[in-house]
Formats: sequence, C-alpha cells, structure tokens
Amino acid sequence: VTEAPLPPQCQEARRRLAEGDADGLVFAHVAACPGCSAFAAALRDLDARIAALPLPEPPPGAVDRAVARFRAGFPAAPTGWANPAPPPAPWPPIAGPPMAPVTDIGEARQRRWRRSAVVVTAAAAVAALIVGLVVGIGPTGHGQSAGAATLTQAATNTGAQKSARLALSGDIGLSVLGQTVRQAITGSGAAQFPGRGELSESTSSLGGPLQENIVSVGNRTWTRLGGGSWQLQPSPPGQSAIDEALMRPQQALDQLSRAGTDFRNLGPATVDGVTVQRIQLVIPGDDFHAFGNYSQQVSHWTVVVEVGAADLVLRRLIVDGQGTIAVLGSATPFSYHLQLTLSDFGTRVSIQPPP
Amino acid sequence: VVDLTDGGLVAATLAGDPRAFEELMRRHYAAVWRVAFLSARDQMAAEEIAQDTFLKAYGALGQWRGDAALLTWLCTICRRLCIDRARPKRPDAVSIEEAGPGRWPVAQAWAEITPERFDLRAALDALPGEEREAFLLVHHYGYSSFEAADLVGVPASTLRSRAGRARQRLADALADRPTAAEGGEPA
Repeated sequence: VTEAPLPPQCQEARRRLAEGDADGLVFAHVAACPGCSAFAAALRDLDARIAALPLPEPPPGAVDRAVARFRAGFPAAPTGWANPAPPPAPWPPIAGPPMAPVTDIGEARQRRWRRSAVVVTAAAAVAALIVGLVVGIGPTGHGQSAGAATLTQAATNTGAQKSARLALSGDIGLSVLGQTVRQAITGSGAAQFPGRGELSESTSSLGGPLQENIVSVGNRTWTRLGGGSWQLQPSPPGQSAIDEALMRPQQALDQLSRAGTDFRNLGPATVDGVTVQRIQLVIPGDDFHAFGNYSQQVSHWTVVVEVGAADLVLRRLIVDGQGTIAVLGSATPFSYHLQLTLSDFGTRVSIQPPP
Repeated sequence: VVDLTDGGLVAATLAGDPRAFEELMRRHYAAVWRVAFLSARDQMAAEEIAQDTFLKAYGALGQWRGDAALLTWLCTICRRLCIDRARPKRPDAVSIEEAGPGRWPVAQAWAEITPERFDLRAALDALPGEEREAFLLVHHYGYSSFEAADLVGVPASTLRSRAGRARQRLADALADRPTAAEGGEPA
C-alpha cells in the first residue's frame, strides 16, 4: 500500500489525534481537511470497535489450577519473610477486587451529563448566550487501574457520608473576534446522597448578573433562571444533567473511574485543612462534551479528583478543558475550568422537588 | 484475608500466611493472564506463564517495596517471562522488543487488511509487536499510559507514541487512507 505521502500538516494532525494530543490548531485543520476529518471519524469508529471487543478471559478454572500449583510447589516461605510490612503503595489502600466488571462499561458509555451555564460572546451587539453545557462521559478504559479503583472506593465512601455542602467555582473563556471573554461562575448548594442535590449558580454577563437554581431529585432535574418559574428539564434516554452529576458526587466518581484514562497520582495536598490524595485523569474530547447545543471539538478534558488521604472521601473535583465551539457559525476557541468542593459532611439536608 | 489491601496481603504472606498469597493470586490472576496472553497469543501458554509469574513473585515478594502497584510489579514479572519464553522455544518468532519494522511480517499481514474486509482482530495481530502491546494495554486493557509504560519499561511518552502509531494504522485501515509511513509501515 504505497501512496504519495500526506502533507506534513496532515501527518502532524493525524499523529496528534491518534496520540490524543490534539489542540485547537489541530482541530481547526481537521475541520478544514476532508481527509483528516475522515481520519478522525475512523478513530471514533475504531474506538467504538475496541470498546465492543470483549476482554480476553482466562480459561475456566485457571486460577484454581494456579493456586493448586502454588500449594503443591511452593511450601517454603518466600525470601524476605522477616521483612516487616512494605512501605505503603503510591495509591491509597483499596479494598475490593481490582478489576471493574466489564458489564458496567456499556452503562458508562451511555452516560451523558448536562448542565446549564452561561457564557458570553463578545461583540458590539451580541447579548449573552445561554448555553447548555453538556458533559458526557464514555468509556475508554476496560480494566480498572489503581487510580480508577481509588475513585471507585471513594465513590462508596463519599456516598456513605449521607450529605455534604457543595461549593462551585470556575470560569469559561471564549475567544471572539480576537477578544477573550472570561465568564466566572460561582455557586453553592448541597447534596443528599445518593440521589438529591441542589445548586444555586451565578455568573455575570454583558447583560448583567444571572442566577440559576437547579434541583435534582432522582432522575428529574428542575432549573430556574433569574428567579423565574421552575422548568423540568427534559431527560433524553441515556442522558442526565451534569448538575445532577455534580450534586451526586458518588455517581460522578463511579463514572469517572470507568471513563478515565491516564490516571496519575499527583501526590498529597491540603483542602480545607484535610490532607488529600490528588488523582488526575483524562477524558477524551470525543466523549466528554461541554456545550451540548453547539458543535465542539476538544482533544481531551483533564479531571483532578482530590480525596481524603485517610478516609478516601471526595473533597474536590476539578475539570479543565479547551477546544473550539461553533458559535455564530464560526469555530470559537474556548477554555473551561470548573471546581467543585465538598464540605460539612453529614450536615442536615432536606432537598425536595420545587413546588 | 479477602478484605486486606495488596500491601496487607503481602505483609501477611511475608509473615508466613500462604492464604494471603492465594488471595493475591485470585485477585490479580486475570490481569496477569491477560498480559501473558498479549504475548503468547495462546490460552494455555498464557496460563503457564501466569502460573510461573505468581511462583516467581512469591519467591521474590520481599523485593516488592510498594513503589509501584503490586499488579504492575506482577505484570512486569509476567512480561519478562513472556520474553524469556519466546526466545528458546520459538526461535523463528521475535519478542516484543525485537519486533519492529523489517522483522515483524507486518507488511505481509497488513496487505490482508482492507476496508472491505476489516477484521479488528486480524488488524491487531498485524500490528508491530510493541505497538500492538502498547495499544492493547492502554486502549483495550485499560491501563493508563503511565502504568503501561512502567510495565513495558519505557518512558510514558514512548508508550503513548507506540499506542498512537498503532491507533493511526488501524484508523488508516478503517478509513482506507494509508498512513504516511511513520515507522516505515505499512509500505
């Protein structure tokens, strides 16, 4: 199969796409290049085929045979037996099986999170745009790494806390007509594990401050803008609001443990006086959408999960990403940063559907 | 014993409780077997390698210092055994390290892969050994690139590069757009 070499920019774009290292420039090229666009589609096709490929499994009884051979062939104590317990592993200790059930992957693949947020496009007469901010997570990992296992355990431990206060902060930056506009978002609320949560978000736009209230109970989510009437958000099959995810950190951790890749242990830090273990993971842009109502291209999202070093309870969740979003018919670079902090675990919370 | 962490089970084993090591075997057997299967490509051969891995690990358990996850340590042992095993018994085959452009019959195998007859397993088998290994570890087995790099014994950037080249070859085959000869193949 010998053909003329691709142009250098196509080679570079495809290499970076394949390595999951694409940025806005790469995506801009892909958007303009039919060949690379087809290549990107083929990558998505490939990922779907790989995700559908079952993991190879040992033959039935293989582990029993291994144990039997161990019993028969290794009666002696191992060398170093007098050695005291080894130093702690780099990951926090986790009880439970190391591999996630493969059957869970399909569920994770279908998961879509959505939240509402406010972003601003700057132009002379451009008003604020309310953008549905959709975050969806699909699976990239099949087995469960140590980092993913930590998140799974943290999901259980966090859910056991019954409730928590939530604090949200972050910003969205849009680069429009050569101007970068950053839109700060702040919010507060509470979670009642596992299925109830409320958030009150505020942001300022060119049109003035905007307030949004969100309540999630079970599978239903209501939003209210600027003190107006409550609206029950439609929940397409397989989709749910990211606000819901943020308000239900237990499920968020479960989903991230399944969808994340490139887990890294960033070491300890302190959050509100609590020593935490920082775990970084990556969610591919293909599967982690930010602006549901707009076409977007993002190479990947970086998520940092901070869990208590002693209790493996979620303390902070940080999501970062950048890419382009189709706004007003053009590819607009954006950056996204969101931070959710949990505190006051076990506090008395009663979250009810809005009237 | 079942509730202990890996570190706790290692400590218990070193303290003389063989049941603790058996629990470690049950906990990590499948993952170790998969790494063996990656190289051996034969279920029974992979089973033998996995057994050998645990016996070897048991004998060297005191050397595990916890600076890597126990599973990564086990898989590293497993992978070394795979390489050792491939050399004497299959002189016509090449190890994962040795496989590469010019040595692995990639071009021949790849010629069989066409978009009309795209078979993912055949395409994976046709990949150069180290690219196939990196790709499957990360994209199929679910290891992070850092864990897979530790396991393979190369920098994470190298591993990502290998996995990326494999992904590119496979996507090219799917899209019927031959790659620009990164690594010289397919040619």
